[in-house]
Amino acid sequence: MRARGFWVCLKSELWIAVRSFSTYLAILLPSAIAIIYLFMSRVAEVTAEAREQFANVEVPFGGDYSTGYGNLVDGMLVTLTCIVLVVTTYTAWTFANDCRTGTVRLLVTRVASRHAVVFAKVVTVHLLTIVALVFALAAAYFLAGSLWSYESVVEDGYELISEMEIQSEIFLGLGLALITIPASIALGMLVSVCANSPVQSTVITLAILVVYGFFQPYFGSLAEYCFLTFTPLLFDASYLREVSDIVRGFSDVYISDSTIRLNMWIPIVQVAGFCVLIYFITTRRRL
Amino acid sequence: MCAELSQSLNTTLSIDSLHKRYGSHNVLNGLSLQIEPNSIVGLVGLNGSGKTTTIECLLGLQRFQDGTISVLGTSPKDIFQLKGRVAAVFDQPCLYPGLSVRQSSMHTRFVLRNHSSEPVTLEDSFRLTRYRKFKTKKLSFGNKRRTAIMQALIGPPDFVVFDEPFIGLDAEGVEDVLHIIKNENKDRGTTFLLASHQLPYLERICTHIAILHEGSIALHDKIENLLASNSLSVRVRSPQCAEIAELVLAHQKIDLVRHLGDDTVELSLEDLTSAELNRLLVQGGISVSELEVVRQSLNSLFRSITNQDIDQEVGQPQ
Repeated sequence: MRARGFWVCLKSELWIAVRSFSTYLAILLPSAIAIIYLFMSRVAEVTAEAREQFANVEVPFGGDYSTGYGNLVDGMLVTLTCIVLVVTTYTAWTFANDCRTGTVRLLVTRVASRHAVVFAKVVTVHLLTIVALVFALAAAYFLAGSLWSYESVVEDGYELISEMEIQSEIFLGLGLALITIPASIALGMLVSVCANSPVQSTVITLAILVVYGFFQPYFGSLAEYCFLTFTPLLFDASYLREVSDIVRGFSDVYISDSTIRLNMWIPIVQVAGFCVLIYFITTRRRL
Repeated sequence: MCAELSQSLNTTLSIDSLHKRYGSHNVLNGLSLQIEPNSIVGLVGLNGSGKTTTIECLLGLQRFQDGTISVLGTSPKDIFQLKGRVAAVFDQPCLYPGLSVRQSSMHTRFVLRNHSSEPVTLEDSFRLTRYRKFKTKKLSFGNKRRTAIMQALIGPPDFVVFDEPFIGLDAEGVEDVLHIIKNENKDRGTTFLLASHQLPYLERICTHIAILHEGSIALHDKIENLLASNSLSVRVRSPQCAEIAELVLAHQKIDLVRHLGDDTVELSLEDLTSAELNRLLVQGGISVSELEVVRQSLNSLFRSITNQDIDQEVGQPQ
């Protein structure tokens, strides 16, 4: 019965989502930002090259560090940062907004338990995030490929890093970044079930996401036990930012195995913790 | 235990000794209420008396400190397991702002797995056909209310809870809602609980009235029993109101209910006719300009219990 309620809620959420402008905005905004970012990078690059040619200045080190992969990773970073910010604040807004409009009462009194409603929303946001990621990463991949070319890093005729290595680093960086997104969504939902209004919920979530970056250096090694350290944010230490340097041929990047393990496990543990808190708070709160 | 169970199965709603407090403020103080199937019950009370709190508790929307509630034999927290047999309309229309009127009813049908063409009929009944493509956020408050009520009646439910059903509706809208409630009750046997300040409307459709005062049900009975009374209210217009007050003090069968301006008083007569009152006044040397018999109304009954006129309460937020 409870599982049926969850499925009904999930279908209801998707039914509403496909008819909602805010859903399309959340899905397409990261892609649009990725596209704008890559175009602006290319324009800035072409402008710089023209200026150098006009001033007859030699390019330092005699190499081209503006590779397709490098810009792809930069585009991905911008996209993922945007997705994390958008999706987390969207999650924070969604339940609090349903409480404000009272629509959550319709489901709770007629078809599903309050927990089913909340967790159906969490799953819905995950599905929307997957769609947004597919769109944004595809847009970044194709645009970076067409504005630059994907090739290995070669300096003075020597291949510093092969395409295979580049791709493997990108997949690792991407995987380590993506694994933190469920924790961000759960954080958004936790704030949402605690908040009294959608505005309060959105502001608190944005504040957490943005302000964490300022305080993270002060936490020292303790910061590695918070998933936000590994999440692509405005001021983050995610591995993907390091990958951006690696694929450009800078090899002085080091990430320890223990950091990778923490990056993989801490978000999962924190999702579980957030879900327990969400369940507990949802049971007690007035709807 | 078995007797309690069978009683809860035979009643649509059973509330027993419900206690609810916000911080140190007691809102519900041992409230008990039974609602039989196929009845229309009006829940009336002053602002802050706990009508909305009672509704939210019985729908499982908020927790309570003590007491038991059974809705169609189910506890409030499991009310969703009744698969739409209970519906509610709240004082604020609970609608998805981005959906149109038609989409709102489609959504309700979708979640209730109801595939009938009923919403089209309901749209007609609520005069919403011309607004069916309008997004609910663009509707007037009255039309939002109509849409919310229409949504609640999709199913159809066995028990409908209305919090302020007439708020925001024009005269035509009120008549439509009254008509639909009556028809649903008559044709489908739907039970209604209406929490409202609009006593004249409740008087027209309710089979039972429950008066909520100081956290508990002060009076709950069939409306005809409540309105049938031995006492008679009479309004007397006279330039000698002070003398009338003295006469009231001297006479056990007459009570002064209230002064209505300088020259009019409302009296309550116990086993005394208006003609006998008139004779007493004339014998007492009191000149009477006008004498009007006032029918016992829900409002006067409510006033006698709460010592306040409910009309003064309307419009204040609960």
